[in-house]
Formats: sequence, C-alpha cells, structure tokens
Amino acid sequence: MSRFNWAPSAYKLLNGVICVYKPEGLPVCKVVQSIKTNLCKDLNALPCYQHEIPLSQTHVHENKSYSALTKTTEPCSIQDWSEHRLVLGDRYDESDFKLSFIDGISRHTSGVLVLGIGQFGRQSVEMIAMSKFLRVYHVKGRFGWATHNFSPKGRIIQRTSFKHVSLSKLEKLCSATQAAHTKQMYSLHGVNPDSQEAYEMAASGIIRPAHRKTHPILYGVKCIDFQPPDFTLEIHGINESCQFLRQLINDLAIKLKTTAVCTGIRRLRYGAFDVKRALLRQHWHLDHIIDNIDSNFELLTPERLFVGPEAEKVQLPPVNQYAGFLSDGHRLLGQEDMSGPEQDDISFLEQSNEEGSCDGPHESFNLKDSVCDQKPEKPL
Amino acid sequence: MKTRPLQLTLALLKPDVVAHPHILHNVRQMILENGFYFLMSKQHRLSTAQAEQFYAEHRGKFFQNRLVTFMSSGPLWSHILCANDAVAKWRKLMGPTKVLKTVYEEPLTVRGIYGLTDTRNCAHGSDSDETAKREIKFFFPDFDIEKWYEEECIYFQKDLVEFDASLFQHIAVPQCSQCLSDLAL
Amino acid sequence: MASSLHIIGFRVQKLCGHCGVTHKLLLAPVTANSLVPQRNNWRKNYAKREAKKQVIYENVGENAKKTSLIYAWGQASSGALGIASYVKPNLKFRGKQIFINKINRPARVRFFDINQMKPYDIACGYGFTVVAVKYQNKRIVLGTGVNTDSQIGYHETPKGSGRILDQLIEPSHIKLPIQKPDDCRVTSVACGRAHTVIIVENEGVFTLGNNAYGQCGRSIVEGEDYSKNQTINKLAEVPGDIIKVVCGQDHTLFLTQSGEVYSCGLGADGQTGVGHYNNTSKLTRIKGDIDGVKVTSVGSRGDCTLAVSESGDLFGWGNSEYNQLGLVTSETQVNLPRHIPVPHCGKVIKAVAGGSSCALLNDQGQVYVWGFGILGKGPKLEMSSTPSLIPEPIFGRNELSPNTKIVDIESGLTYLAAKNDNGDLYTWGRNNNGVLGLNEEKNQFFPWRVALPAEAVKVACGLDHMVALCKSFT
Repeated sequence: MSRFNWAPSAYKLLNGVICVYKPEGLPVCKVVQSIKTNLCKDLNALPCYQHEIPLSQTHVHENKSYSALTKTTEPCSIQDWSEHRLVLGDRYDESDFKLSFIDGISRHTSGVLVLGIGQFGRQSVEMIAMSKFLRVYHVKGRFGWATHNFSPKGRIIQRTSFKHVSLSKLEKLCSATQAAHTKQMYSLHGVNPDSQEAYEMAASGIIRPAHRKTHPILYGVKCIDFQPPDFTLEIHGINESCQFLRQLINDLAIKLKTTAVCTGIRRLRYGAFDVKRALLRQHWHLDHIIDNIDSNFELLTPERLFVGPEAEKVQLPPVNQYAGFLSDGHRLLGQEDMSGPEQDDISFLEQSNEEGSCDGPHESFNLKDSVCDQKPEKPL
Repeated sequence: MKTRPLQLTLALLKPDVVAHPHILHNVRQMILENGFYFLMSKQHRLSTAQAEQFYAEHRGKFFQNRLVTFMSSGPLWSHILCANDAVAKWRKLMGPTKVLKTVYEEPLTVRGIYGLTDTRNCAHGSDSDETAKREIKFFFPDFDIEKWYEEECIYFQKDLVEFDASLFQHIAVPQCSQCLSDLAL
Repeated sequence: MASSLHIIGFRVQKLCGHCGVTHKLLLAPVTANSLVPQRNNWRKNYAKREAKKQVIYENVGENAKKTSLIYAWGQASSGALGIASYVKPNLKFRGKQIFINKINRPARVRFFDINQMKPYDIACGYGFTVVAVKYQNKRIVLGTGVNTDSQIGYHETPKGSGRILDQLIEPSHIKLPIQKPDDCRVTSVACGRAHTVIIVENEGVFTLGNNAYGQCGRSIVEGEDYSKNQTINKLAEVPGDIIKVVCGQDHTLFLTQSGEVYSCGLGADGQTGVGHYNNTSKLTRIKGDIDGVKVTSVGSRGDCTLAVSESGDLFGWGNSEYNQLGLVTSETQVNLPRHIPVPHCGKVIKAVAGGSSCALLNDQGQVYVWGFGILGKGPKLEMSSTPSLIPEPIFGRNELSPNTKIVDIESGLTYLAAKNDNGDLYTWGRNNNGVLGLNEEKNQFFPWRVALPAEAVKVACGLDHMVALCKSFT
C-alpha cells in the first residue's frame, strides 16, 4: 500500500533521475515501458479525483476555515460528477510519463541504468550525459569458443584449446590493453598534443574524451577472476558499447592464441550511480521510485556533474537557477518523506486541495515553498 | 648582362658525417640543392698536429682540445664551395655551432638534422673571406684563387658547368665561340 | 529450428486435447508439407554444429614458451634496423617493397624469427646495432649497420674476394677471438659512436672499432685506418670482475662487481673522470668523490657521465655546458667525479645522461629530469640544474592502476625512454627520423607510450635509431 493519499501530489514528485538495475534479457525500451505501466497502475490506485478524498481529510480542511461556517450548510452530497472516475476513467495513462535514458545497455547486459523522468529529470540526464561519467563493467568470458557475434548463443565458428592460458599472461595483456587505451585518451581529448595544456592535462591523470561519440576509451582493464575456461574482467571505460566489450574479449583471447566468447556483461557503476542506488525490478513501483529520485538529487549538484574536461571551461550557471530543484527545502522534503511519510502526506494533500490538480513546473515550485514554510512547525 | 659576384668558401665535412655514407650523400645533396658549386673536393685525414695548426685561432679556448682530437679521429671531406655570398650562405645552411640548441631552434639546417653534439657538429665553414682564403690554402695548396677568378669564374657565372659525380665537383664546359662572345658582352 | 519444431508439436497435442478427438490425421499432411524441408535443414545444421564442436584447434604448440622478439625503429638507411628489405627491396616483390629511409613505428625484425635465434642482449651505436643471441645451442654475437670503423667486425663476402663490407643491412656474425667461439656468453655489451665493447663471461673484454681517442682501451696509433680493419682487441690487465660496460660517444666506462669504475677514451670534457682532459688509452680507475663508494649504475650517452652508488647517492663528471652538473659547479667541464646532492629525489637507483639532458630514477619509480632540451615537462625549453619530477600519471599511474611504476630509464642523445613494470615503453624528446617510434615525426614534449605489441624487456637507445628487446605475451 502506498504511503500517498493523493495521486497528483505523487505525480508531481516524479521529476528527477531514476537509477534502476536492468535485468538480463530485458531490452531498455521494455524497462521504460514497464516503469511507465507500473507508475500508471500505482497512481491510478491512489485517489485522484475530488470525490475520492478520504472523509477524514475533508474534515481537517473544514475545521481550518471557521470563518466560512455558513458555507458548510451546503449539502456535501452534491458533487461535481463531471470529474468522477466512473465518468473519466483512470486519470493517468502511459503517455503522461516522459522518460529518457542515457547510454543504454544491450538486451543481454544487466546493470545500472540511469533514466530521467519529467522535465527536470530529462534535462539532468542530458547534463549527466555531457559530463561523461566513468562506467565500470564486469565482463565474463569463456575461453575455447568462437561465435559469429561473440555471444555464447551465436553461430559457432571454431573451438580452440586454452590450456596454455595462465592468469599472469592474461594480466599482462590486460595491462597492455589498458596502457594502449590510456595513450589514446590524450589524442581523443582534442587538445594539441604539443601544447603545455596537453602536458598539464596528462599530468593530472584521467582525461575524458571531448565528445560523447568518440572511439571507446578504456581506463582500466583488470582480471578479477580466473577459473579456466571462465574469467571475469573489470573494465572501466567511457564511450564504450556492449558490442565493443564483447569484441574486446574476443580480441584479448586471439592475442592469447585462443578464442573466447563473452558470456555476460554487468554494469556496476555509472559515475556516482552505483548498484547500491539501483532499483531492482521488484521495486519499480511508485514509492521506491520517488525515494530513488529524492536520493539521487544529491548527485545532481554542479560540482558532481561537471567532472569532465569542461569542468574548468564551463561557466557554471548561478546556483539560483537550480534553486527549485536543489534548494534545501526539496532535499528536506526527501528526508521527511523517509522519516515520517504519514505526517507529510497531509501537507501534500492540503497543498493540492488548495491548488487543484494543475501540474505545471510553476506549481511544483510553490509546493516546495510551502513545504519550506512549514519547516518551523516540524519541532512541534 | 650583369655579372654576379661569386664568392668562395671552404666546407669541411667532419668525421661523424663521413663515417655514414648515407648521411654524407644527403648533406652533399643539401649543398647542391641550395645552389652551391663544388670547385674542388678532396678526402683528407688530419694528424693531430695538422688539426692544431688548422684551429690555431682557437688556441687556449676550452673546446680547442676536443675539436682537434675530433678532427683527427677519422677521414673528412673538404670542398671549395662557390656561390653568391657563399660564406654567409654556407654558414646559414650549416646552422649555429651549438648543436644541442640548434636541433630545437633551427632544426632544418645541416647541423639541426645531422648534428650530434656541440663537438660532433657535422661540418665546418669559413667565417669570412680572408679565413676562407687561408683555409682553402691549407687544404688545397695547389688551388690558385686568382687564377680561377680570371679563367673559370665566367663559366660559373653563366652556369656553363657540368657536375662530375665521380670527382664530386663542377667542371667548366667551354662553349662555342658565339656563347663566349656573348659572355664577353 | 529446434524450437519451431517443438512449438508445432505442442500445437498438435493441444488441439487434440481441446477437441477430444484425434485431429492428428487431419493435421498430419499440412504439418508434413511445411516441415519436411525445415526438418532436413535443422538436421544438417545440427550435424554441422556438432562437427564444429568436435574439432578443437590448437593455436599453440606443445612446448610453447614466451619468445624473444626484437622491434626496431628510426633511421633505416644505415642498415642498423637489420631489416634488409627496407634498404634493398626484393625485386621479386616489385612495387610492394620499396626503399624505406626511416620508419617511425616499431618494426619487427624478422631475421631472428626466421633463423630461430633467441636474442638476449642488445646495444645500439650511431647507425649500428649489436645483438647477442642463442642459436642452436650456440651463443653468438651479431652486428648490423654502419661498419666504416669496423665497429661490428670484419666482414668479407665472398670470402677471399677482397670485398669488405662497410655497411651491413642484415645481422651478421661478429667473430670474436675466443677459445670457444660457439659459446660466447655475453655479460654486457655497449656501443659508442663508432666502437663496440663486448664482455664475454670467462673470456674477457673485447673492443672493436674506432680507437682515435683510445676508447677501445689500446694505445692510439696516429693515422690508423679503422675501416676494413681486422683488429679486435682483447683488453689486457683488466680487473677480472667487470660486470658492466657503458659507452658514451667516444669514451668507455667499466663497472666492476665491487663497485669500482674504470674508464678510457676521449677526455676532452673530462668525461673519463681521471683528473685531466687528455685522452686515456689505458683503463684507469676513476677516483674523486666515488673513491671508496660502491657504484651500482653508470649512465652516459653523450659527454656527461652520471653514476649512482649503492646507498642512492648521485655522482657526476664530464661536460656541464648545459648545467647538467650545475648543482655543484658552474664550470663547463669537470674532470673528477663530484657528489651531486639531490635530497628531494629520494634514493636514486639509476641515472642516465644524454647530450644535454639528464634523468634519474628513484626506488619509488619516479623519474626526475634536468639539463636542457625537451625534458618531458611540456613544450617550454628550459635549462634547469635541479632535478624536477615528471608527474607519475603520465607514466600510466592513475587511480585505476595505482601501483604502476617505472623500473628502467634509458637515454639517447636528445631523447629519453622509460619502461614501467608492465613492460610499457614511454619515449619523449626530439623525434629525429622517427626515433621515438610514436608513429609521427614531430617532437614529443612529454612521455608517450610506444605502441609495442609485446612486453619490453630491454631497450637500447642509439643515436638515430632505437631497438627494443621484447617478450611476446604468450
């Protein structure tokens, strides 16, 4: 049972970045679809029309306005039937949710996926994409097989022996691959390699590529598990694709004079979004998603977003511009949500009662302001 | 027809270049491409005493010892070069003496490309007309500069010369009487 | 194929259960028609797949070991790379093989693979290379490149014809006058500008090539013609425990087991460190500040010499025109070893000196550079007498691989090279003739990794070429 009592207030909170754990075998579009369906179902299960407001809450509303005592003489049974679930049907359908994702992973890959919901969420997802976070993968491979698409389900091309492969050889090759890619990052960054700037950048460590669609760059390739024929590599990279990782397994194996298929890829991190934050499939529901959005707000501060090469160059917008999303009030809201949801629900409800069911960005600002106003009351 | 003033200078290719046939070839090609004429070419081997005599002007300087020992360490080629303003031109083509700085500052000169260190700096060039005369006298005692200006200079001015690759020098080609009369004009 | 068959079979069963009557007969002709060609295909594919699974390819032989490979790059026209087809294209492949003057990326020297030789030591001079190899239970020394001073031996082909080669384009056997010519165990080999020094275990020290300054350790003969010279000198009266030899341009330094340094050759800049500026033709023990100190490493490529003691102290002598020894003296020439205090560099384990730039390596794997030229700290040319650190991230140490460190440094005349513990080779400096092997010919202002397709074991910096002894990954 959801902790919300009023659907539009919950709907307004669906504006931010969600971090989910995509299971294997489910395409990203299905993930998006499934989240939309779940949200619809959950929101529609909540009261979302005037007539569905629980009676106890209406009483609270009435008690507040003693001055308009005379108006209460109106019979409360008279209602506006034009806004009724039986007339209008379910309030939310899937087209009400605008979701976008960045750096999707292939169907057979599992792992962290970052989605943006709502206007702010989609904007921040774009900014996350621009800041080119480092991604960490665990890639599993199996020696001895070669298939046409590097996956174990592909058409078999060859079987090879792999007795000669040892952990030390694999590690050597991993470090060579890593070093080769590290070199590439200077050239892909786009600065003149003969300049002092390039030297200073090289001296500072990891350099991110200048564009989103460059050749993949691997910053770290490590063998973390080796039990022939299976092995697992931990790969840190930017701008990589799942197909590239599969091919990498194949290429590494060919250098070891054998062949290998990629039996699984798991994305452990996407920048600051790690598996701990990611929602499992059974938690793709309204409450968890809203909690997740709230907890992810702390990752959307400019200091955290602009870690890329443009960190120095980009003129950071004044903090006030993000005030609506990043103000203390909103974060407080998130904390309160977790600590005592039932008390807060009342305030949401009141708020939405006063303002009707509008859900524009302007109203959402007001919502937060009102919450801020209520802050002093909290100790009582 | 205005005659061009031709100047003579002495170019020495030092043992580090002469030891590498391909570099020797490249350096000479560079000289040819820059419009120098080779009047005389000769391979030498200097003894320490001869080298000291040649570098008498540097006596007492800190690099004199290493210069002399280097010059006497192997065979070297001496060339009399001839061109407009040959002394300055050859020194420009050669580049500054401090090779380890030249390789960064003037990388397209002979020393910039093939120089090794400040001592092993590929080549030597006379620094003035008088020095050139003295140095030519040192390496080519048989070569008479005045006689050359009187007799052969005119062919070089008119570019009536052929390059002899075996001797590695340019040889004047006397033309028909008509041409000669043109020259006289 | 398999799955589609199952689905159709399932459908048949379900229909039967639904109606309760046998519709099998009705359905049979339809299914048969649609399935017959498919079923055959499936069988065939299945058989193919199984057959493929049965065959297991062995890409590695039974006793496969990591093999030694040699990669070389830089000036090719001298023949020093040992790749004959670059200098003399095979006429059989007209149009495909062309004359290559210089190569700016690592090129594999196939000569050693074709002849099944296993290289174990290398050295580079000015336009020539010396390689020590194991070959069919023998150990021999090969040389290739310029031979105008007989620095890689006397090579007459065909024998007795009087045609003596002054340039070799492919490695050829250097015949040393030793008691067991087939068992030439090379302890150390080094090449100067025009001379070679080879130390053979249990046999002694052999020197070849130009001796105009006494760098071969024999008395200087005025007017000696070094080309087409058959002389190979075995050093007499040398300390028996010489373990390492290092050649500068025209001088030679010997390091003994007990940490003493001996020198001979050109002393015009004091690079022999014997207290005067004359040439030394006899091995002389170097005293000065290193007297009584156990020296473990000596480095010299140009006219400046650096030495490192066991306790991590740095000593230097020789040329200091570019402030290589500027910390202790303002003179341009030093003829006795001087102790150079570098307390901020930690414990020094190796120091190398090029023409104008110097570098040292400490036990933390950090590289410090000083002198003049492209030092590896950006495009600004500067003269500095104090060693300054090259940031470690440039050598591949970042938060993802925090333990990578440099284990070896080498110096050419105007460039430097460093090798880290993963076998990655980094080069920087002046890129004349593509000597840095970075696939381009412009100067490199900070260390850049060479794309070697194997793990570097040892690297030798010549004056216009570079050779790396590598080990294959498998």
